[in-house]
Amino acid sequence: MGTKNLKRIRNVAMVFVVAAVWIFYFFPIYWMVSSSFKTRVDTFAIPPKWLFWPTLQFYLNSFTDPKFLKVIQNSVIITGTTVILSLLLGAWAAYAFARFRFKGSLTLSFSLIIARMMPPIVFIVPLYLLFNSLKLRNSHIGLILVFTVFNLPFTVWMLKSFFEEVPIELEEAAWIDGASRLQAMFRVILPLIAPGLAATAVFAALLAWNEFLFALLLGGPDTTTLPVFLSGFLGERDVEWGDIMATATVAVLPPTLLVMLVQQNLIKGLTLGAVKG
Amino acid sequence: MTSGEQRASFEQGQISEGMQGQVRAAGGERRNRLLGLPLHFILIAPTFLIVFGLLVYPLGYAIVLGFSNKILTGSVPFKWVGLENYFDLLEVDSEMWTSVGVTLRFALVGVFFEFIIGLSLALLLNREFRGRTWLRVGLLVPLMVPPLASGLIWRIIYDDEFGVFPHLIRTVGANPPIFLGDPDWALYAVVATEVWRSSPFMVLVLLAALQAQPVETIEAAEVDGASGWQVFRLITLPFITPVIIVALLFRTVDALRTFDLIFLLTAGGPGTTTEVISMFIYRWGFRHFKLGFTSAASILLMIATLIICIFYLRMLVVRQAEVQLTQE
Repeated sequence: MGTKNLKRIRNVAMVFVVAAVWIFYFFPIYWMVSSSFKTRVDTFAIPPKWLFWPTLQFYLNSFTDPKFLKVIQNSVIITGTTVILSLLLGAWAAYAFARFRFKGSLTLSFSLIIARMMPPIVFIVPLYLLFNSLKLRNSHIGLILVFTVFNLPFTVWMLKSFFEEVPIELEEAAWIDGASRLQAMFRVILPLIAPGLAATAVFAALLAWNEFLFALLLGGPDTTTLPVFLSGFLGERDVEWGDIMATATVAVLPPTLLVMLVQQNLIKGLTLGAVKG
Repeated sequence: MTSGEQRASFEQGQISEGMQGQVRAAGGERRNRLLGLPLHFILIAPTFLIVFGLLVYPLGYAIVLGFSNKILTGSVPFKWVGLENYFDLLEVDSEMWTSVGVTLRFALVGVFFEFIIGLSLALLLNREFRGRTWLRVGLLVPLMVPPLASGLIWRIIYDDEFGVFPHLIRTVGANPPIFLGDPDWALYAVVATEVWRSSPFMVLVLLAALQAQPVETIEAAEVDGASGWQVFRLITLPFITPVIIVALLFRTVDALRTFDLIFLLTAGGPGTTTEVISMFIYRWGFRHFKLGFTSAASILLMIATLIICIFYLRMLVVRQAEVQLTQE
């Protein structure tokens, strides 16, 4: 009897813990999305309104605003090109680090990790001056280049861990059949690690999509990306929270959906392939 | 992926083994050259060319600038000032130390709570119970939210006029502080946001480590009469320590990188109570335009980050050497 009661208490406690954790992590997201559907009056209501008549006003506002559409276009172009570039450049290096041990290979691959660990602000002053003198500020190419560089350490290490999972024997078999190294890489290895490539692309996209510091300081009116656009709302005198939250929801949605697709590689993506999960 | 497959992939070990499958000697010589150059050289060249151009070169530029009084607007004639910027920065009562203090508190308090929450939730999720899958999915969501957007979300939650959080405190009868505007509270309000955003990282990484643990060792210990706490302390904890170190490394350096979140939540204020080092550098570079001074501060930050990285990496290496010794 005693143990049965104890078990029941434990079950109830468990339900409370799970509920508390869920509320803690999920409530802010819920609040963001719900605020994007609240009229101005409902947003500023005291006490806060839990039940309200939803409005699509802010989404309609946003998606009919040519400025906003241009921002989305910028974000998509810059993110897309960055992902393609970092995969194209990174895959070669990743393969080299996974399959060759040469003089300085450890130093070089670890220097990439260190580059990933560096706070981006360290590079901002020289990059700002460099971009000024090369007339790269406020240009798509400039942002794409910077985003790519800061994505590369991640891409290389993540792809390296995927290359290492492919047994070398598979490649050797292809060489015996007369394939060159590059042929074997293209025909045998790349198809095998396609899911890994996809996961890497998604995480690289996430990094580029969310990047703020460089977009803010090296970009300009022609290259405004979603995060910069979002931060710009706060400078306005009359802050319209519905607009902000609608924009934030639009900014959060694509990465969330994409990452859900590559969930099983999430841990790897978060730790540059250092931890499998 | 079925859970069986998942476990199998966990059991391959969680720390990546490093250089596997190097070139086998015979016959590889010709295959490994292209246009007369070693193939690996050609493969890594593009990456390192762009990394050199946009990371290493600017870094060198920053080192040089750090010895000058360069001002963006050019209002003061350019002059080399030697180590003066560094002396100004390292002076006992300089603003940098205030910022270093804020950064340390932000990082240490934040990472501490992230670790506590991360480990408890990971241990919880490692058991079977109803609602487990839901909990895991709920945890994923904050990870997807850009730091910038999470800053915005928490601003309306903390808002002293219409925010939910102060409202909840008022309903239980207490008088809430102005979370983001009170010098005593702002930093902790920011830390709470960071914990919300980043503790799922800890949970998921530690959970992956826990699930990689072979079931047999735990069962064997339980058969030998070990208590739950003993199993955790003597078997589980040593097993997951390398992953803990990796997770702490990532979270610590990320705390040093924090910019977006604070830029949006408090912009460093009130006063300089939440001015972490990135905000400090941003303010001197792009509000006061003192680029020479800012470059010197950047170099100091770079050195500090390097030291932290080396500290953690050494811990990892020592740890793995210990494991190897006990296994022999």
